[in-house]
Amino acid sequence: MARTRRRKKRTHLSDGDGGRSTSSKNLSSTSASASSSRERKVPTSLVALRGPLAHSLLPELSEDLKKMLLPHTLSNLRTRRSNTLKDFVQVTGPLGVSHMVLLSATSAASYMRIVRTPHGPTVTFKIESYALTRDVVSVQRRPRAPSHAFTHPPLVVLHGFKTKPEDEDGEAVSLASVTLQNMFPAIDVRSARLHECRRVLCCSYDRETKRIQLRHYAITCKPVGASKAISNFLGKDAGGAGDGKLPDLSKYGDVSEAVAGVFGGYGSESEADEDARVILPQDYPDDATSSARRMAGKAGYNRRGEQSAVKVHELGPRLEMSIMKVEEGVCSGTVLFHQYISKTEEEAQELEERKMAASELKAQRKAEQEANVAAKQAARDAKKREKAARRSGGSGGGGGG
Amino acid sequence: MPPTRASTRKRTSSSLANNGGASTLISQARDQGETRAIAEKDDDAVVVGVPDTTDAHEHASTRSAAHADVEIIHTSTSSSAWEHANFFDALITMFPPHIYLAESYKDHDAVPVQFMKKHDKLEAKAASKANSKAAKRRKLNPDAARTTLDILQNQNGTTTASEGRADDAPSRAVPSLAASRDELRERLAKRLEEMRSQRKAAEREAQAKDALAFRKQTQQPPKPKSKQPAKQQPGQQNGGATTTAAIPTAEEVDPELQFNRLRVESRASEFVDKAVERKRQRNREEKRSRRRGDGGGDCDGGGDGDGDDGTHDWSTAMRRAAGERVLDDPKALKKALRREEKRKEKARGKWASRVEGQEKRQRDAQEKRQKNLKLRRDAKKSRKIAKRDKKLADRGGPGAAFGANARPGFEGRKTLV
Repeated sequence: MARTRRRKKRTHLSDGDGGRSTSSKNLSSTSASASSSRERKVPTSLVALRGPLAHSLLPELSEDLKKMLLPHTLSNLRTRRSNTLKDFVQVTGPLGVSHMVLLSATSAASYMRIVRTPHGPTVTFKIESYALTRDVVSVQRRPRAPSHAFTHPPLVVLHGFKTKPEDEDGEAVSLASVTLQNMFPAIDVRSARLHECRRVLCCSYDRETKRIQLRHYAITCKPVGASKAISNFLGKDAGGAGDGKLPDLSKYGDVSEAVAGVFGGYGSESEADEDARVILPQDYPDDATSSARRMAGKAGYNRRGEQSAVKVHELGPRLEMSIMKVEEGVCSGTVLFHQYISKTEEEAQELEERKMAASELKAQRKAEQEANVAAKQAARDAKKREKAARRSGGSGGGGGG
Repeated sequence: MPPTRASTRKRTSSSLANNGGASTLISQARDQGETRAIAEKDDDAVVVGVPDTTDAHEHASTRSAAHADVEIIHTSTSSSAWEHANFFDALITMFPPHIYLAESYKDHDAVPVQFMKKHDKLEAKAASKANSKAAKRRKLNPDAARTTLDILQNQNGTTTASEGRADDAPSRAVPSLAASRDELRERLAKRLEEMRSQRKAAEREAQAKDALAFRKQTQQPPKPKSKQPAKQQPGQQNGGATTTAAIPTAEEVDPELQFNRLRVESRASEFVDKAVERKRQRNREEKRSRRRGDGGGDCDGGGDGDGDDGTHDWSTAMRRAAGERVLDDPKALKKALRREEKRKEKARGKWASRVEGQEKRQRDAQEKRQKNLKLRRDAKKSRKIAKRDKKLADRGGPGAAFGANARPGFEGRKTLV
């Protein structure tokens, strides 16, 4: 790895501010709106496995995380086991990566590191337990994974991350929350549209157990008011999910009978909770619709100002994590927080001094070595010069004598 | 020689000024005693009239007016003199002071700012700004408003004509400023009322009031005008006017909830020059680090033993995590500075070479021109010589003109060149 695709500069116009938007456009599988040359930097993430155990244990989780982070993630990035951290760091710049999500595992536990590039900080989470998308889907009676949900980044809902001054790990928790928030693009109040909100990522922090729960949901919305039967019928009529056939009314004496009597009571919405009903401020095409325009004005299309029921369906993965460590740099630098190890000020100072001494020693040795090399080279040069002089002098003398 | 138009105007105005002075002087004369006043008046009229000697007609009129005034005072038939004085005063009042007193009424002189040092320039600019502000305030202050006549009288240092006149003189026809203002106001109000009635404003207001009352009565809230309310989620605050009442805010549901970051900045911020912005930030950071009191210990982390170093680490980490560029690496800062310096050096060199090249090109062009001119000169010279030689030769070869035939002094050149 560590190689980015060569960019054609002469025959292909790069748009606007150089490589950033181009590369993110090329590499993220689905780009939401990368057309504008004046586009802002969107947080882009790179998910990678680190270490042999992680490669054997966590490949599926990494795929799930990639999907969760869509569309602003390098979903097609190919990595090898031999890639080092340095390789990943090197490509972040050209590929416009702002966050690296590194998964690693030991025999004791698995870890997830979220690294802000290029200067840090790094937050290391210990994965206490997790469930893959596969697991989550397998227990659902009617799983859904609407493909269009992944064309836009998820909404982020954080719970319990607001810290109080008396919390000992308050700074670490708030840093984790800031990191999670900033992994996803900010909502632009001017240009945001309701139909872009298709997924939601819920993170909640439990103060007692000191664990973060992470869940990932799809948002669906259904108009309420019409009975299920009617909306089904109309949905079929519109060429949505149904087979396009007309319902068989031969057993009814009257159309009204079919509508009111047998299909079910008007407005019986058993599945829609009362408090999940909202009046939408904008149109919101249902997930069954492939084209919003085609469905406009039909049933199943949530229109502005009308009542709709909002539901969420879990997509997975689920993660339960605890904050393990916070470092200042990219997987390096001062440890600002550690779950298990705490240092007194003296210890920290001593460590710092030791580090300083080591770096000084290193510099000193380097200088020494360089001096040695220079001296050797000088000696060699002198010898050579002497030899040359002797030779020319000798030949000159020979000629004279 | 007939005077130019400009000079005529000036002279006219100055003679009018003299006249304006006349009435005041008359009033003075009345106070002080007639004979002395006559002498003064006469002197003044002559002295003031001196620059106008070229324009015989106007000068004459000035003088005759003055003389007329004097005579009238002398014979105590003051009423017609006052009439004249009033007439001229009224004339003067019609001129705005800045036109009438073009030279003397200027508030401040324009300062050539562009040649000043920066510090002085800023000061001068600030001063002139303050000055013009004060001048405007003075100008527009209705209490301090003065007519041209008032200013003139002030300049002459005399009492006003009306004061001097006291009781016996008939009141002047010049309307006071305040009175005219009131009149103008009245006219404005009248005109406004007229226009209101024309567009049936009162009627419409009544209609709007009725409509509002009707709407309130039927309890129909007006439709929301904004087409883009905030995003809606279960439990999140809704910006739409229709549902604000129905859906509680996030704070109300759970104060622990937090959501995506929001971006509400204006479009203008997207067009900020990135390089400039970066430079500004670098300066800010430098200042910050200087304030903290150390040059280089920041990047190594909080190992310097200061009490607040730990918090600094956290705040830096937090800012970085939030996507802010924190420039606290002195090495990188130095590097950036060096790069900047290098870039400037390069640009300087480029510019110098450009200037040099330009000069060289100019020099070369000049040289070439001189050379061509010289060539032409030489060619002309040689052509003339050749012509002469040919002429000489035609007369019989070299030396043919010399001898007895040639007149003295017209022998020509002895040799061919």
